[in-house]
Amino acid sequence: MNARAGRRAGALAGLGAVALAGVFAASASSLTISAGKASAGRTPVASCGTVVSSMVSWNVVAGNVTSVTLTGLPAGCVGARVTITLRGAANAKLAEVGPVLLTGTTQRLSPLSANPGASVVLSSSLVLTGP
Amino acid sequence: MRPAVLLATAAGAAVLLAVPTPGWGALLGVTSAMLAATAPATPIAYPNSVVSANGGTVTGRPERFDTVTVVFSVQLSQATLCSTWTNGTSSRSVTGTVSITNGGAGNDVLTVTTVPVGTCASGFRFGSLDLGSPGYVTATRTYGTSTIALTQTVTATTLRITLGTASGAGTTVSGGSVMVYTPDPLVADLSGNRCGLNTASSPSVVQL
Repeated sequence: MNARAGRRAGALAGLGAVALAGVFAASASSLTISAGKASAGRTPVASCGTVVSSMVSWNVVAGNVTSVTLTGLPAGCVGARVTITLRGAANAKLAEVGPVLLTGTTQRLSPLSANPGASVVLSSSLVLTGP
Repeated sequence: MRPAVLLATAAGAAVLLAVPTPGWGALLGVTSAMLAATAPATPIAYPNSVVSANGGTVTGRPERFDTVTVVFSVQLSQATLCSTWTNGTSSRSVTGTVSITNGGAGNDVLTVTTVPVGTCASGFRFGSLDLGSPGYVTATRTYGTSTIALTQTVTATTLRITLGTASGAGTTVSGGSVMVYTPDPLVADLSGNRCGLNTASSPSVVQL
């Protein structure tokens, strides 16, 4: 790597670090990351929609979660791949399903990697990634 | 699959950074066209189990004294089940008519169809129970003088339906699928958390 290329790589790394630091700083209160910051000069991030209002419901067999149904997903996210993770105490991962193709604004996801007791699932995280 | 970083706040808002495989420390490139993430709340009020038991003479055939028992995850607001019920009483029941609707090629479905309007002005909000087979009845049957009993603790609610006198004979199912209970979506706990779309399935593939 010549000196010019090295400086360019260093600058890009710096941009990435700045962008990431900005994200962490913003995450403490609200997430206001812009597409430009995240992309660091490359492909812009295009959100497929607001998923904060999405809801999780589940099917339970004898107290254990066997499948998860997502509702209220943005229509713009259809075609993305969805992953949901169920978490317990200390944010421990209890079960996961995905990534699977999102075919509608409501989707049932199964099978889960495990069938945790419904009462010990305290939170969930939902991630949509593009094709 | 590309590795990704999910950042979520306590309030549930989140953003996803999809990161290309080679060296994201050197180049934070976001390559996905559609990105979104969140931390949706998990259900609070939901059916935690549903089972049936044979109280008649033949397992797999709906008969008088057969039972269906649903246990919910929380103490429900009894008024959301039946208008005159209050939570001052932890054990109560109402007598009414339960129906098993012939699903034709589809599965037969059990519902609570009639209770005294003086007790439950808007009916009893049981929801529906897909029995997992089309074979339990060949025509819609009603079960008069069925009992819907509630028992409650501070952490759970149990509903038990005991079938009454049948309007006609059922048929015997020897192998079906699990039954799926879908509560009335308006049924809620004391804090107003509704059961929504949460469901429970039976462990057994033969019911009643």
